[in-house]
Amino acid sequence: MKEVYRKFGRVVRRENATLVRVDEAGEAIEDGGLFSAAPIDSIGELPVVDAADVMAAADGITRIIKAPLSLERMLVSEGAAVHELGDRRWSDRARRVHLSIARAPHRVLIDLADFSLDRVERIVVAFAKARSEEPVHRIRLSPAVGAALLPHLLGSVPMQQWAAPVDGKGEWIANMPVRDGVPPNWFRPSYRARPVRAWFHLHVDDLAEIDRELPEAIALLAPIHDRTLRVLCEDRDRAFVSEINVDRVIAAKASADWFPYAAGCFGAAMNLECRIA
Amino acid sequence: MTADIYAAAVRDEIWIGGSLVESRLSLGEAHHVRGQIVATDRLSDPSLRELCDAEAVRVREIVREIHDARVRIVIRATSDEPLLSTVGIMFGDLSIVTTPQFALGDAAMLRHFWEDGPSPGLRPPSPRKRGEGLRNSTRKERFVAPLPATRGEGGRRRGEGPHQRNLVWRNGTAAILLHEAAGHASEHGHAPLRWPAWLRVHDGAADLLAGVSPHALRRESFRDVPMRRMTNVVVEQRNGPFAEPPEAIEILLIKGGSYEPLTEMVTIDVAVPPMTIRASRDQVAASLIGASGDPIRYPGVICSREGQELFVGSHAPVIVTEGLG
Repeated sequence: MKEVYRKFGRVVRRENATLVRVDEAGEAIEDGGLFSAAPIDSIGELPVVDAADVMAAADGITRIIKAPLSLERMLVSEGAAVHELGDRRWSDRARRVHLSIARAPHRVLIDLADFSLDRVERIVVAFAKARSEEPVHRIRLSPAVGAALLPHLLGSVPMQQWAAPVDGKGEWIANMPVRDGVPPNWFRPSYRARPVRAWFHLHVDDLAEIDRELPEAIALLAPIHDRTLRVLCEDRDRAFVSEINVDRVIAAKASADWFPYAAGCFGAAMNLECRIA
Repeated sequence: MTADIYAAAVRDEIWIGGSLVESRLSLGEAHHVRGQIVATDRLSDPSLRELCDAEAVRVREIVREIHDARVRIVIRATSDEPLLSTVGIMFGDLSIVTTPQFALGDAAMLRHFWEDGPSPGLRPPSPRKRGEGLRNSTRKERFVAPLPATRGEGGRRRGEGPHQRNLVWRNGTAAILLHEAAGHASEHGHAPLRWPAWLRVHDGAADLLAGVSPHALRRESFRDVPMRRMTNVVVEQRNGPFAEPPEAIEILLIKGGSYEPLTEMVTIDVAVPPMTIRASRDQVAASLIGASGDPIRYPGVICSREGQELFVGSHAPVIVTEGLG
């Protein structure tokens, strides 16, 4: 069956010091085993995206980062798009922040779906005072770090796909337990990408009470590999670096914050038992 | 077309078993205006698309013969670089990226490695049917190591410490080592090191060993911000010492590499024989103990930095290192 998807979009992006504005309209066709994508001539009315908020967020981040830290990479963007597939038509708008903040030999990686700077400020303060690398046997994950871990815990920790408007084919994303097997929805981050099945908006089930006395991992220092995390931790007024292997999730609690990991993850505070990496 | 406008037509296709499974066309322009880039997927100059489409027809004809691999062809007609066509070829977990003129020979080389099993580099190769890819590389100089290399241990032999290990980088593979240790270091503005006097590493006119950053501003697409990136790394030796090590592991095919700018650590994942090499760039510089011959073309690499993937040509003579592990 031939399926034709069209997308009209506009993005304003601040990449380090450069502001980039991109307007695009494209079509993706799936016909049997062949996927093809190309720009299209006819372009609908593109949504308005104001650069002012992007610039303000980027300037704010730039002001926060001071020596001995350096801003290795900054992407701040806002985009809006209109999608069509058959007789379905829908639209969305998204904000994204990706930061790489360096203090050799470490770098902190931050991914956000809003322009609030509170999280960034907290991480920057802790990173500036982190001195040592320490092992931990039990740790608390901040909602942001827990969200990043959720896609790596599929099948081992109970979680839900949270209900939301449409997936990459315009279908409703239903609330349901995440289970083994093929996810019902399609993820299409770009019209140039072949859509793939994915669980959307992962939302961890509450599990036991969070112990708030444990040291808290507040940021990632590297992408998560399997179940190994390099993290920046806070323990009261101290900050340190740790590498942990997740042995067992002993407590979890979802939060309302949403993070742009995989096809979306809600914040997930967690307590973990760790093997020393 | 002025330097303030970048335009590109790019065709990207994936073929499996001789059948087209994915096809992408990208057209666009980026206008540089007062520190901003305004980009749109419209091309005011149709000649780039015509050039791209004509080249795609030619390249498809060439790769049609490679029907037993996963093949990706990318044709880039841009306003700032010559027409560039690349062919990615994958057999199982072995892959290379090359150019159309060498695609059939390089595919034969890769097929040979794939059919030879996990450590084909440790025994003599069977004669190649098509020999362009490695024509100048191995043959008489090939050393047959007695024990297979294994992932993680890097093929170390009993009684041999990590600092005594000799590696012979054949087939132009040393270009990848120096792409990471010298090329990326220069892109990041890291201070030059004390390199062997016989060694030269250039990207165009840029002397990478002297810490000169590549001159070219490159970008993957019209949506991207251009950066100083390598285009074609050429490693040369001038009267370098060379003695065939009595025992050595031959590096024949690279899986990937990386340079960590915060620690100046180089990591090379070797595909044939499978092993991982991790060292500081100081250690890389100190490990270079000899070289022989003219630069040999390595098929090429896709270099990824800040999410932008670009093809980089790679050439290096046979080089011997000591103590990398």
